[in-house]
Amino acid sequence: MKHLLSSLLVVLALAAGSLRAGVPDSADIVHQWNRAVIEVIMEDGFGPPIAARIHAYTNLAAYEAGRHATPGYKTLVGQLNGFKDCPLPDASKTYDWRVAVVAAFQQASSKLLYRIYITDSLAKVHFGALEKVVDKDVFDRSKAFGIAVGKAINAYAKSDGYARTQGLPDWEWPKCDSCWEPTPPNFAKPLSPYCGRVRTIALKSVDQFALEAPILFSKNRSSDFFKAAMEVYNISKNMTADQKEIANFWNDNPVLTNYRGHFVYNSRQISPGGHWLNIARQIMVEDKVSMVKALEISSMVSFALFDGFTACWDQKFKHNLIRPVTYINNLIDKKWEPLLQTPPFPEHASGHSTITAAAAEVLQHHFGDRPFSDSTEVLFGWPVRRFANFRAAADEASISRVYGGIHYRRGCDAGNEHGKKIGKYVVATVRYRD
Amino acid sequence: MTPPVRVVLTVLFTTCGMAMAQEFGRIPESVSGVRFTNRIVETDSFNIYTDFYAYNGGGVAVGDLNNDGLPDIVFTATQGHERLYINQGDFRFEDASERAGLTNTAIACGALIADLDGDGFRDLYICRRYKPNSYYHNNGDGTFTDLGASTGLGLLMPTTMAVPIDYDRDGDLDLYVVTNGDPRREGYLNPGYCDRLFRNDGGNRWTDVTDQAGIKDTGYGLSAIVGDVNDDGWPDIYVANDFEARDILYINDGKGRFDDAATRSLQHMSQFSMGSEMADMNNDGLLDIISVDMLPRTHDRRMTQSSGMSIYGPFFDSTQRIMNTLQLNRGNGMFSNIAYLAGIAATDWSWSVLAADVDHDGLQDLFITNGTKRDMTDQDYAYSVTTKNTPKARQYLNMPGVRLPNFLFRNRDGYHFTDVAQRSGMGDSAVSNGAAMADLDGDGDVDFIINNTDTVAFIYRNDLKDSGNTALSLRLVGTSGNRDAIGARATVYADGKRFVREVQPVRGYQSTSTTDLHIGLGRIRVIDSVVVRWPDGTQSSHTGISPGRNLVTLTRESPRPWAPAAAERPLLRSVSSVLPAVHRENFYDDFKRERLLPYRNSQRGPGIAAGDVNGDGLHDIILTGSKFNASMLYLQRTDGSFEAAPSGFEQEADAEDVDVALLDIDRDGDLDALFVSGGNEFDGDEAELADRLYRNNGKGRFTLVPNAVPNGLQSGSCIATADYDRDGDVDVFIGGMTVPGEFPRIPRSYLLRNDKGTLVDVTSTAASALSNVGMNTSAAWADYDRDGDADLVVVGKWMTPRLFRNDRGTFVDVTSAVGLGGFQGWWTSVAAADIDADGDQDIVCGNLGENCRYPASPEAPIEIVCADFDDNGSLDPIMTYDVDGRRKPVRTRMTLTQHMPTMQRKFPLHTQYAAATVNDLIPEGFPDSVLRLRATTFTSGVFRNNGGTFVFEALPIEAQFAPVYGILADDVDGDGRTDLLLAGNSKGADGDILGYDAGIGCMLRSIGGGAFAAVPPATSGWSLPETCRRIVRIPWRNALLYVVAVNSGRPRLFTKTDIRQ
Repeated sequence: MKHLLSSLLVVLALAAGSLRAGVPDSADIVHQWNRAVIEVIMEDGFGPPIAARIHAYTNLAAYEAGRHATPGYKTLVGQLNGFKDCPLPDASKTYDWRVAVVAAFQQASSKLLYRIYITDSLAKVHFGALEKVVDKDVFDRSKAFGIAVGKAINAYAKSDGYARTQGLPDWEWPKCDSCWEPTPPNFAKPLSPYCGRVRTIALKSVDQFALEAPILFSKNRSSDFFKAAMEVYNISKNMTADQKEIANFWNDNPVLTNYRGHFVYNSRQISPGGHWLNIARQIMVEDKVSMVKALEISSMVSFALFDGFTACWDQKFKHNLIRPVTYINNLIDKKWEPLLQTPPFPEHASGHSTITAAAAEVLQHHFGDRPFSDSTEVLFGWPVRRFANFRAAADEASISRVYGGIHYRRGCDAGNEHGKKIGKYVVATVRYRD
Repeated sequence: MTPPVRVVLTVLFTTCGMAMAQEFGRIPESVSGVRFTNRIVETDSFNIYTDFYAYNGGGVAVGDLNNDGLPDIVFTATQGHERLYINQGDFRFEDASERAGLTNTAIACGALIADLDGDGFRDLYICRRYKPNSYYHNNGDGTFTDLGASTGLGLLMPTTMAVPIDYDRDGDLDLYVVTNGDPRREGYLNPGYCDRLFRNDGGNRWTDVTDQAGIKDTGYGLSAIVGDVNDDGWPDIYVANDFEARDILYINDGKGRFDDAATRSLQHMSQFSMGSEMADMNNDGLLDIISVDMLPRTHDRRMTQSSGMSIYGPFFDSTQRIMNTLQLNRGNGMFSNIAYLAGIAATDWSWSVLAADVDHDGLQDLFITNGTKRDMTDQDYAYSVTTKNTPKARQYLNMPGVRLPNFLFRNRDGYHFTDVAQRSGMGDSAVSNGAAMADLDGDGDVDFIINNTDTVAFIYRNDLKDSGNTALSLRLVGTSGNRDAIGARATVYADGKRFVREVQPVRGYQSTSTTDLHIGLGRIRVIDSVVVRWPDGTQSSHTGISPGRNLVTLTRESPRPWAPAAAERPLLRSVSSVLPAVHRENFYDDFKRERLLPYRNSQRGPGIAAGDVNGDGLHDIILTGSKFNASMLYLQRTDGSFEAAPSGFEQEADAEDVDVALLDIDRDGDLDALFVSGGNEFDGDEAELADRLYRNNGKGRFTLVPNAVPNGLQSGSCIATADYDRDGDVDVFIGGMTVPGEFPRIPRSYLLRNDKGTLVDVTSTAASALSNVGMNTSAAWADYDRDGDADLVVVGKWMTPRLFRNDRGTFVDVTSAVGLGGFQGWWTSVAAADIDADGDQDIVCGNLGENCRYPASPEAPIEIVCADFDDNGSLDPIMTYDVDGRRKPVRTRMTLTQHMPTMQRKFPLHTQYAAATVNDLIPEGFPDSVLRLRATTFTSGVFRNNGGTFVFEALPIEAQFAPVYGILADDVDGDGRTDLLLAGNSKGADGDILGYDAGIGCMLRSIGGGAFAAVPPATSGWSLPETCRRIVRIPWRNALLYVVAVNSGRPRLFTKTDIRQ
């Protein structure tokens, strides 16, 4: 299993860094777990909507297990759709909330991720360190509590309809001039076509906020649609170095396929949701936020991502719009290839634009208007980028899809607006404290 | 009672199994002096990431370069110059590379030895990838001069091999150069270069005639093999292409042009074709074509090394299959790929394939090299390669590699092969690429020379023990421009047999073998004659030749003109144009709903029925329509043609009608129509699944009788009618085929009694066991016990043929009692007929056939266990097979996890999945709801009725090439015996196999006693490459018409060319 160890090593190295000082700092536990979940998501190759769902439930479990560490934090039972039960600690007993958080993360992950030996290893390291400094009965009780919360979240997750979408037939995509069809180079069938049917976590319904429609489809060379495609085409033909860097920086395609004859392999990248959780983590580390605050922010960002993807996916498969590469190959240049690999699902609207805007709203709410630098992509060979504020980053992420040749400008702008509304709604409705 | 003929075949197998007395001995390099190793040293600029053909390896060329009578050897190298070894005799060689001037170190691929300029000294032509090819002209003094630039043969494009061919029969050698593409490509739109054809104009003047000859192949060609496949005297070319571009079969039209016949002659071909070969494997006088691919042989390798592509992309081509192909030449322009039946379909990364009768038993064996320096299709490796932790510069060094043994397949009977590499001494494990054969020591048998990657070249001496087999070694001497007579065909006639060989030195992969012919003759002591067809199309006959170890030289003396024999007049002639019908199957992808289905359930139709519906005395035809297409009525006109006519079926176009029967349900003297609807497109409660009865107004106009068929909504397969209760009207059995979307649940089947024109479901009272009899495909009524009433035979998939005895109107399952138990198959058709003329009804049953990837036997059955194991709302049918005594999943991890995603948690690695048994997949044990299915035989055959009990006899091998969906028993040749017409094929296999479609139909002539012999299609005229369904026979123009229903195509109609009275 030598070659599988890379993610494991990353995760354990993160853990070891803080362990040098004894036990992990409480907030570090949260950061390390989110980092580990991101790693496993990359290893498992989950698509972006499913990745966001995993982040949402793992962070929810950890929040519900650990929120008691800071007085005043409320349960989200009754606030999230269908979230009716979650165990409470025995008020008369002592707990170590770090232990509970680790146990909850581990338990929740065990039913959501596949390569759970990675997260199990992290749990082992954390438990090993905490065992040395926490009384055994407190440790055992806290761990049991965390597991109980994790199981409650597992049950909650199971009720959201996702598992059933896995049992459904593949989506039979209709065929028409404006219809999406499988795109080069993989010509893969559509990814997660039923994710729009999964229960939203904060939104009242998947279509609570209207999405601006795409430009009216036309094959006519003088039409707006043709012009929109030409814009994508022309940008790709006159690409500046900056545009190229922006496109690659925000690519966030979890699975990129490389062809070398018979040798076909996938490059993994962080998913769009993972990217934004990582931005959040960088700010939180900078600000040295507490464990519960970290859980609040991570879970809220995750909810915005999850609902953003769900709402976007619902729209994607309703609009079922043709990707630029197909349109351009059919009508403009049959040999044109976009800078980025086109992800395997319909165009409208841009998922990245949607969830980016939603996540930025949450971060704006917590941290306000502040400049920051993002080094998430250093791992993937791209430089650190600096942004004036979260919304500026979101706007750049949004337009990056046009630079990358995988979206029309309308799909990005509409997604951006849609995402803002979703993010604002999450901020406004999910109450962590009174 | 006559004895079964099957015994003959059994005996044949047994005796053959004991042969193969010969062994090969490897000559150590310390003895031979041949120390050549194609060592491939990877660098940061040359590795699998930078050049995906980095490990394609080198070739071997054998030929007498110094005219001393001994074959010399040239090896090509990926890095480093070519190596020439001069044969000193007695397996000792001298490295003469430097003296010869072979110092070019550019990547070399194929090596050709042939006297290209006809000056009496064989030249050397080397194909290269990034530098100009080298045309080393033999100066006759041990040195060579590269004339590439001056002759134009120094082609600068990626080339694999050059093949000599006198395509215009003008007496000199022309050159076909197989080109490739850029193996440094990254994008997905990358056509290769067009192959080249150079015409030899004498005096080393060469003209590129690629365009005017019609050569258009731009695939990534890895080999080409020349031979006269259609026996018209003109050499044809098979080009084996890697990747998307399919293989090409260039038929030489004799006028300087080549036409690609691949798509009309081959049902399918290898996808990642590498080496290729042409040889007559079954001694029928016709050259068969072999192309090798990269399908892994063992379960472990198949589960960890797999390659494929999206079926939704523009490059997907269902005629390309990842498997070796053995294209059996059927003699009428058609080929049948019988690689699964032959047992040679899977030999991993297969480079060279060479045919030779190594044991002189009279049948040509197959040698296949294999291996790759690195397993670039290793799924765990591919998974582990990520750029997320900064690109690892030396990633290529971590790619695993494995050395596997080569294969020596002994030809047992012309159709079945056994790998004997280990016990024959050729089982060394290495990465072997090009290979050549030649009689290096002049002892009358072929020795092998193999170019290995990173291992010293192998020389295997054939130590043929005195097994009692004889052979003939022939050297053909042609004319000055082509002294080695390349392209000549020798046919040895002896003992009523014929042995056909062609002088084609370029065989296999990147290599040149001997121009001498070594023809094993088995026990034959006397040769009647040797007939040589020379490259110019003339022919000479030679007698007085005896088998022996000495080389016999034949020269072109007093040749006579030769012309191909006139085509024979077949027994049946196709008259399909009189019926202007076409069946269009609706596109439905069963696997999108049921990803683990072993086959599609949506391509069952069309059904067919014939009868006089309008009372004009002429038989008319109904063909059922697929979803969205109404079933159609075709009325016969007096001139024998048919025309579509308004029928009354038009409104019910949405149903997928799969069978139809014409029967006088209301006894008003005309034929009413009963349709059974099926398919997999509908859910179990949709009205389109309702079976339908239409009443005839006597004039061929039909009216739907609402709710006349009292069975529920089930997906049916077949109708069988008989007056089982002997009340004077016709009763009906309707078979259920599947529960849509819920394979493998058992659908319901029905017995419907005709009560004065009303169909009454009497299944539960008269035949309760019938209701869940199985996944039916076909049924027949037959009075097997001769008690005067009709008994019922039902066949289907995953079930044994079941017989229900009619006991005064109630039915008793007598399957086991009459000897039908234990034959669980994928039965697709059944017909009752007295095929042995003993007065009782025998049962002919069509099965999947033996040309299938996973054979089934009672000892090693194919099984399915099924439940919703992962609790996500869909059934999970897990098909298993026997792997070394353990039950393992047939489908790959990728397919399984698409349907059961959480299996990824259980098996993060492909190696773990490869090791898993079905119990590891479901470690918690099977729930009570588990469904179990089993198949123990895929052989089509006859259950012969011996006084009320049945004995199974397999149909001849030609009937086993493909599934049989249509059976018609009739005295076709007019000799008074009952013959069988068979038709079939399926394009509905799973996503790995894609199709069971090697069949072209089969006419089996009765030879008495219930035995059959296949009639060659050129003789019978019965050639049906289509996806065929049922066959009906009707009177037609004072003769008979056989009508074959065809899925996704036009029905095929045949009538007898000449009826013997």
